[in-house]
Amino acid sequence: MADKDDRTPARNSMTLLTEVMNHPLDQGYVEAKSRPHGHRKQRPTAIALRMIVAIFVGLCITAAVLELRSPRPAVTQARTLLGDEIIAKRDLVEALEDQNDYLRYEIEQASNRLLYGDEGQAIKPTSADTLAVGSESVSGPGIVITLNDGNVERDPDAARVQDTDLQLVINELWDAGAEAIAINGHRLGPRSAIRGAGGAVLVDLTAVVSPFEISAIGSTNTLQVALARSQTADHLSRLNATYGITFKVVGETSLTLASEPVANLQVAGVPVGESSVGSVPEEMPQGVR
Amino acid sequence: MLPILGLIVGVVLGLAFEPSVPVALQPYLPIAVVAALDALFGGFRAVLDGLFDDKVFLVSFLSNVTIAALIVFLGDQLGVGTQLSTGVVVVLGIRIFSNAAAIRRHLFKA
Repeated sequence: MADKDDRTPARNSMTLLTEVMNHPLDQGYVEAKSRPHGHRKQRPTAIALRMIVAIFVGLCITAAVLELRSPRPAVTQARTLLGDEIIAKRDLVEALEDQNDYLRYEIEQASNRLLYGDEGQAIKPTSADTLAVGSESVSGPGIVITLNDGNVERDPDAARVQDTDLQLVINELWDAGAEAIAINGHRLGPRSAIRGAGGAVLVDLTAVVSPFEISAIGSTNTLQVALARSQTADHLSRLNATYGITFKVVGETSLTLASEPVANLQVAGVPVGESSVGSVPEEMPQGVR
Repeated sequence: MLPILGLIVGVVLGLAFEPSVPVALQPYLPIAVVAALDALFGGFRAVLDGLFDDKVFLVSFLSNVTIAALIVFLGDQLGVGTQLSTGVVVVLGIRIFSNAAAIRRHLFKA
């Protein structure tokens, strides 16, 4: 008995749910069946009315279903439209890049005429200058360092070669006396930057991906020894042990590095009058020092 | 049985003419369709139970759809539209499931 008393309130509070679960059929069906049979004789008008209502209901529901299903083609249409546009724009970008390359070539030709031609003997950059700026392709002996991403499946972010890793190696190479460096064929000049953006590594705003091939021209022996003795080598072997990032150093007897387009000066210029170089400007604003 | 026939005729007409629904009614369409499904399953089960009555079927169909849309409309006005539609969908879903189970027992004896 106590058991029954315990259960009653719970059942009372669940009436709605039990009603829904146990009697899903409309009560109306049972009631209509239990009505006296004579009452169920149907007049033709009633049958016609029900027929019309049924047709109307079917029409409405079909309209609703069609309406609910119709937006999807529109969405996919918009998607394909955007996709086509992206592809078209990509072609445009490629064409513009080609044009850019051509124009850059023309600029180079023109500036070469100006610098080395009959007209201007004034400014003649030495080979050391062009080498440092990276405006001309160079070749010579050197080393190639290849860095490979580690186990990316296990550790998607950390196992990638980071921009800082590349920066370390590049700085070490400059320090060791490398004369020209390129990453995946992308020559590094004085204004080059190696940055990380999201998961990608950008060299001068161009994304480069693993395997990273760093080519450096310089004395093969000196570079290899300097790199092996440096802290960068420790760092790389630590990366190898922790994330499985592999690196390989190969000496090459002949490497050729492409030229790096030199940015034109837009705002900066050589000061007027050579004497002003290094001198203190006459009007010094107050409170600067 | 006549209303079922009428319903099929209506569906065919709807597919043939593709009438458009007024924009103001569109938010209530999904819930109305669920309610219509509930009434359909109920009607089918009644047929199998031998209890089918065309008037009850039509009235339950219309009232189900109207009340479901009305609840959603009321919820929208009160700022609880999504919650109320969730409630309606849960209740109708349970009914559809139990009716489908009864139909299954009738058809497959299992």
